[in-house]
Amino acid sequence: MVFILGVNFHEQKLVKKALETFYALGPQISARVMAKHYIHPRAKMGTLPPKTVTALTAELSSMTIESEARKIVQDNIKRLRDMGTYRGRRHAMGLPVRGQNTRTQIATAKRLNKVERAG
Amino acid sequence: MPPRLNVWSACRALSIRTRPVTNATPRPRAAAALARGLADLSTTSHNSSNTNFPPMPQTTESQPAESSSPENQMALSQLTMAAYGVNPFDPAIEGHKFGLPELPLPSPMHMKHRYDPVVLQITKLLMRDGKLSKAQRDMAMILNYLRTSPPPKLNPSRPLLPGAPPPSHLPFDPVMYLTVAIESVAPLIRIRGYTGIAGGGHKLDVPAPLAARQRRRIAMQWILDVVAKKNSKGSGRGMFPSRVAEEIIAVVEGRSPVWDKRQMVHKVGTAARANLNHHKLIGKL
Amino acid sequence: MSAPNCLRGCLVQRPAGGAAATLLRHSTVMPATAAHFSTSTPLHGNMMKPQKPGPKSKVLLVAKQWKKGKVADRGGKSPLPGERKAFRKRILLSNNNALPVEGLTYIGPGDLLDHKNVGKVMSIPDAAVDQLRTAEVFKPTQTWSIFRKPSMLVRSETVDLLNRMHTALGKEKALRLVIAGDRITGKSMLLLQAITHAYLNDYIVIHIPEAQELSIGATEYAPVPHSDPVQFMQPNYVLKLIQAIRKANEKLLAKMTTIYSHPDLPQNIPVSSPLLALANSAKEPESAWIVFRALFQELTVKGHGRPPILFSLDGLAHIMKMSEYRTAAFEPIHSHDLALVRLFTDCLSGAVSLPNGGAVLAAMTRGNAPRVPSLDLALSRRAAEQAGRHKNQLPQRPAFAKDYDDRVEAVLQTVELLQLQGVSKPEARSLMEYWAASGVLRSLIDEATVSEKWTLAGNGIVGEMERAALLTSRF
Repeated sequence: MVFILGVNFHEQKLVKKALETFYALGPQISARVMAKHYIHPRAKMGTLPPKTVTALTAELSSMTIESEARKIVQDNIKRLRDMGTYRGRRHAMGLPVRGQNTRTQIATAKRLNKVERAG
Repeated sequence: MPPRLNVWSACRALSIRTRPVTNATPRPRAAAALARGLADLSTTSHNSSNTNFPPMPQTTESQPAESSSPENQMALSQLTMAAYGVNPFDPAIEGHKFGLPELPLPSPMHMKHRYDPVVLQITKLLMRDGKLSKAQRDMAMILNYLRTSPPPKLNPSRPLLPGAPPPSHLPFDPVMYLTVAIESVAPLIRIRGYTGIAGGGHKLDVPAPLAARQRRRIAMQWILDVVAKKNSKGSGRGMFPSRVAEEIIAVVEGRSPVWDKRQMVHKVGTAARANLNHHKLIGKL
Repeated sequence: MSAPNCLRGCLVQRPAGGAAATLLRHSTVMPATAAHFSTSTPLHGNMMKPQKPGPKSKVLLVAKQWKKGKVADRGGKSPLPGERKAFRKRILLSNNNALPVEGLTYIGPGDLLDHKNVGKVMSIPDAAVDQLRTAEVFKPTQTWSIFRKPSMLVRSETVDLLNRMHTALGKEKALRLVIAGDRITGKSMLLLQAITHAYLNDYIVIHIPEAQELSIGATEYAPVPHSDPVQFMQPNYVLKLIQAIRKANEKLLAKMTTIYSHPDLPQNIPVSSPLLALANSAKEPESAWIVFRALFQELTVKGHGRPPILFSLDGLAHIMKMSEYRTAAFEPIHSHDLALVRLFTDCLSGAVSLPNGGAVLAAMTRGNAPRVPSLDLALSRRAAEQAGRHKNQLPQRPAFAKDYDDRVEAVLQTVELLQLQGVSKPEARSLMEYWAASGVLRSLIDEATVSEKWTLAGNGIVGEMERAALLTSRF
């Protein structure tokens, strides 16, 4: 088990996949973070030396990920809502924002679109 | 369609020998082999034209002296051949690069009978999604696995077919190994259920005999059912064949659960023998 | 008579009788033990007992177990991580069911140089087998597992290559050569033969079995300290490599002693201590590259009883492209900036010389190889040069092509090229006789069979011959 930023990862987990579990850390950023610490693309968590693990934690803690990134998104939605825009209203109603039809296929919007957006 | 009238057709007509094979003794295979080798030699002087047709007799050229005329040369060469102990009039050699095939064609030469019938059938049963080529490769791997595995230790309570070769011979003949396994574990009968005869919504179990191919097919499907439930040890394309081969060995060694299936079918069939005389079935079977 | 010329051509040049008889050797064929099958099996007592009819309920039960979308529980424990790959990559070198072949001799130190041995099948001595196994020269796709002991056909190309190695050794130079050829023509096998020869003749062998392991980003990497321009070492791979070198060349390494002091090593190795101790000092991946450099420096000292070196690599194309690694600034790393690869390419290009002679061999691979236009171009230029074409007539880059690489072409500027093709018919025959004598190929080996397989195999491509004769369900 390897701890990174307070999260526990299995030793067999790919570092790339482990990094991408963090909110707002996608394939591009994870590849860059790994290159910065000389972690090869197919490395697994168990093979990381402790030094790299602490360096990764330090690196990630300085990035805007997880709650900070969520906060930015929520603030943006909140701004739209406060201004009383159509987009803000659609967010509040949990409906698609960008003019999609709503007869079917709006599951994602229903799940995600809120003023206090979680995902 | 009338034959085309040109020089080559005439030549072709001339080169055909209608004389039947009169040799009492079969031609040794070495002769054809040797002829093949000689046909490769660059020193073998053909006419300059590189067609497949036999070259024309050189009638247009000026006739040489009597002793070197083509007929004379040929006679001389035939004499030489006779001196070497080769029949100069053997149609299998004369004018054929590879000799004539022996008739009737031996079965491996025939496209449809290229493989052993059991191998052919089992290969088709291994096939998924119509990928015959993959199935054939799998079959080859299965046979190689059988060939490299140690001789099976037979279980006396699960006897193989009578007349099967001793276990020490089996790895040398993987096709036989496979055949013995499949044929030994194949059920003799199947249970047919007749609904609406027994009454009360029950079906009437009646044993029915199976043909050889049907028996093999059922046996192989049982084996494949077991194989599908096995964990593979490794990864890669050799794993499915190795699991099948392991199961075939298990069948021969009497460890396989397929034997229980066979026994079950036979038990049910034996118990249901009386149903063959059911009054509603008489004349129907 | 219609075709006298044809008849004369075919028949008159027949050699006198005996030749045919000697050509025909009887292969060892098992007597066909046909099983006489009968459909009646011995009846068991318990089968005859009357049974209560209860199959219906069982059938229902079975049907209930199969629910849609449910994955079958296979039971048993699944293999541990790494076990599956180990099983896939395992190498079996003997088959006790195969018949021992009579008259099969072991390869001696000079046997592969002898033109008389062309077309013979010979066995690898057991000591060399262990060394080859340690260096991972055997490949799982080769057909070692169906014969009694590892044996191989000595081809004319083998003798040719090894004689070139031998001449280079006399001149105290290294033969720098690329083995190319179509799929399954035996490129890796030729490399194996060269390595066998090297082990038998006390070369130090450094073999990289799969070049792709270095460049596809599957092993650890780190910048080499104080290198400019920066190079990258692959500590775990190099540690594994050092251990393989140490194990395979143990006797030789024990005999030699160091002549330099290596202050930067993790462990103090005084001057004139055995090279084995130096090799043993690589225990941690961090120090592996330093130890490897030191070892290579010691081995390439001129004189001092240093043996020749064979540095070989399989899968050349993989180290002739950008690797999957990235620098800290997220720039892709060229394979030639990886330190071990750089060492190999320097040896291959001649920038680093092997003063005690030896060879730098690189085998191409055609099965799983990236397309590297510069490599293809460079090799076609070498082929044209060897065919005697003038310098101005060599193949050129297409005018507007972009994906060419100067570094690759620079490496291959002066290498020799060995283009491998199919075996000749006598060699094919000898190989097939070996197969038949092992009891693996059950047919009479005569001119017709050999011709058939040779032709089916695209004029004697060995792997295709194996496919046609050994890996088939047609017996």
